Amino acid sequence: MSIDAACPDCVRRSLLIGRLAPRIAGLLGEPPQRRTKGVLGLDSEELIEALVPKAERGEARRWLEELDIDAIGDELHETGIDALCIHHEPYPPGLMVAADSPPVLWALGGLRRLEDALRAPVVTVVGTRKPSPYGREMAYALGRDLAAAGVTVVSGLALGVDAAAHRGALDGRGSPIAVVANGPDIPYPRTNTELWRRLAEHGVVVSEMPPGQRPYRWSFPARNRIMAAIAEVTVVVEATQRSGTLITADFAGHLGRTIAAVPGRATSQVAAGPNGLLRDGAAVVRDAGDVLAELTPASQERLRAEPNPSSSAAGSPVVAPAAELDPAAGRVLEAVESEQGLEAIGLRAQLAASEVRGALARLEGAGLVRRDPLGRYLRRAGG
Amino acid sequence: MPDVLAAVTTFSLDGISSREVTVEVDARRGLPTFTLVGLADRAVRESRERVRAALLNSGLDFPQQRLAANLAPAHVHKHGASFDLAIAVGLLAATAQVPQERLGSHAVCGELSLSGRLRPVRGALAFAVGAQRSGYEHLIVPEENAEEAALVSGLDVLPVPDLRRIVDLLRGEWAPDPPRRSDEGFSPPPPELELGDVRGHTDAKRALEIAAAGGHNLLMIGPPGAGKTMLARRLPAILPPLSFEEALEVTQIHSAAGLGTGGLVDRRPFRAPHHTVSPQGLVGGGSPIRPGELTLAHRGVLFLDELAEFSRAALDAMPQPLEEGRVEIVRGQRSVSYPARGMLVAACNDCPCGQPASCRCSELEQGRYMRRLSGPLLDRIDLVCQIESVPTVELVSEPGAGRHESSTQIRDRVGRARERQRGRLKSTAARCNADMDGPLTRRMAGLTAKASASLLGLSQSASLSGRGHDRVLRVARTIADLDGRTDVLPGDVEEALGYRLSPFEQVAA
Repeated sequence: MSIDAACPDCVRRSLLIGRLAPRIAGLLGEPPQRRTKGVLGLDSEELIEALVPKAERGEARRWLEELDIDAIGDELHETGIDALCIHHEPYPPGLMVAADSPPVLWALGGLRRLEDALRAPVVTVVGTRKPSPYGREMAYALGRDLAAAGVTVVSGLALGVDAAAHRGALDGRGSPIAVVANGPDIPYPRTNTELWRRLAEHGVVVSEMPPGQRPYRWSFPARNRIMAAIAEVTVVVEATQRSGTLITADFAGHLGRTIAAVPGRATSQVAAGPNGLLRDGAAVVRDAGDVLAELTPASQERLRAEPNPSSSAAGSPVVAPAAELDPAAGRVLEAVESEQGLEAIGLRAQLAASEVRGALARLEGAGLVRRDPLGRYLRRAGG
Repeated sequence: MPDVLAAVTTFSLDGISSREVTVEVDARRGLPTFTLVGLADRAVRESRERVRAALLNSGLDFPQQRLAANLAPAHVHKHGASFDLAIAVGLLAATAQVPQERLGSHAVCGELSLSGRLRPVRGALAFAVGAQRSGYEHLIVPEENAEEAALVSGLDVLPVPDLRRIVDLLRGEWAPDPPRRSDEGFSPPPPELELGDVRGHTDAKRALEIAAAGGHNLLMIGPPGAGKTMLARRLPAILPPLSFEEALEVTQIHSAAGLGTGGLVDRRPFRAPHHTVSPQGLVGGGSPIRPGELTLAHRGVLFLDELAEFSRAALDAMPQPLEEGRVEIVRGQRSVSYPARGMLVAACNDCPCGQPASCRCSELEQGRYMRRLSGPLLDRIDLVCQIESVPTVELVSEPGAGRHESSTQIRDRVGRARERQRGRLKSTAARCNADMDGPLTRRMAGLTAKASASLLGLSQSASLSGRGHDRVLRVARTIADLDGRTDVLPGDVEEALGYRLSPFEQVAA
């Protein structure tokens, strides 16, 4: 695509960060701290002084001087990646206020689409890479229903909650934004290659790391600061107490953004993160409606004025009102909510094994329960 | 002494059936030698030493002549020690120590010990079937094989303890007691383990009942210790008892594999090979070719625990035999066909770590684990059920006690359902619902208009593939059969959907 939306100096600084990426971990100390402490906010000369040994600085300066920006622009033409610097539209306004804003965002999927996506209210949905079925279901439903309501859903293309939120947003016919910790041209983790491809096709994959750059330990928390900064609201679905997800929430808090969390069981490890946030005053998220209520009045107004044009085809499944359920299915539905196995469901609903399976199939057809690949049933969220 | 040629009939194993082998012995004057020809393997060639010692230790004469034994037909490979007796008898006849006139109506089989005692052989039942078919009136067998060989009617089985007695028998100086015949008043014994004893697990028991009724292969998913093996072992208890003909088939297989009990195998076999089994061990093969677990489970249950841990090669060898009910093994110029009509019950954990309470496996790991199962084998599995640990409370005080049925009640219902299927499938190659292919399934489905509408409505949310659709139809058909109905109702379809297999490729939401 092109480099037209980036100043040569910004591109130089971004490429320098890419070149010095392996050294950044060293600067962060041992064991490497997870936050980049403003390193990424330094200008080119400061970066060289901070990261390059004296003897090699001359060479680094020469390399920077001799970068052929036009040639890099030509290379981008073939990749489908745009360079967007902080001085050009549509650089996310939320990201400018950060002290260490990325000089350049490398975007796969087109600047037009990014511009459209950023015009809508932006919500980040993040969580653990190893969610429970409940967490996965909540992330998916939030992604889907927020997208259907016209919100741009942001997440980090990680496994688990992130991937589920992205999938939901795609199914809700939105243009989700994936913020990644490596060059946007690299599908990482590889399991998500197909998802990455769909995101590049229907949404945007952005990164401060230049094309071809692999991820580093420090680049994940660095990526988190971008996700927190571009969104009005950051929703934490499931996270353990020591999760990187909480770094995103922390960034959001420092920037004065709204932190929201999906409540979980008090006894569950993956609920410790969001439940802790809730105790500290985060907004409670039971469904997409709770998130929409946290948006600024201006954003809410915008959603009313410009709803997602394609959302009528997707969004929530048609839910049969509980009154229409046969008594057996109704009792089974109640039992499913306690998240127990088929055996317990049968006992609670006072039904024979043969009737339980049938009732579950009817509930599934009505969109009230979902069957996971292992054949376990869970209550569908957002229904 | 005159130069004499003698011929004795015995048998060799070919798969699970037998092939007639004629042992010709020629004894003539010359340097004392003993040669053995006719594609004999090492065990057969060693037979010379056993025969020599057995003759001498039985007080018989081992002739100091030029001896040649030929195993005909000469182009067939011969394995094992079951030719010993035929060679010894041929030698005795060639040297006029026994008269030859009885050898036309008597076939023999048996391995010799150095003392002259007869040792049992593998495949005695197959040999008896072969002897009867080739028109022999009598079959001389080691005593341990007598009951098994006597399962063949119309054949006089003569159990003999040692070489000395054979001489007496062939000289007409002695006759053995007839062996016990177990085909008279055949009544299969009750199963060893009862499904009726199992507490809780109502869903799994229902799945087992449907599987038994339609002959459907079953996959059980659940954490370790939840009772998957315990349940699988009880499946034979609710299968219809073996008929005498089926019992004969099973006995013949087990006898050929050297697992025979000496008599009729009258219980449905249950085989549970460990997951380290080789592809040859699972479907058959090796050299000499032996039947695999799939064949040993013929008419019974093959249980594969920890399905995901089996080697890819072993799992990939399974679908075709499961489909055809036979294993074809081709090795060089030889090909052997083994029957393999058992039910497959597979089990796996719901996650690679096998610790549901503290499971922290990533999607990646779970996906990788589950994908190991996917593919053609799962295509042969109609039913999937989840096995959950039964809480202790329930084991102690079960609500609604007395609601539980005995294995006999379930078995009767299964038997009636199978009866209905046989009637409906009379004109086809299928014997039970699980045997029906796609087109036949759709023709025989018998869905009411309401049931069709229900399936149509639910198949989208269930994201059913074409084959998945057929599997649901097959299982729904069986559920109706269990209930004694010709029509398949919406409830049957809904229940069948509950046992469907979801594609493991889409592990994520």
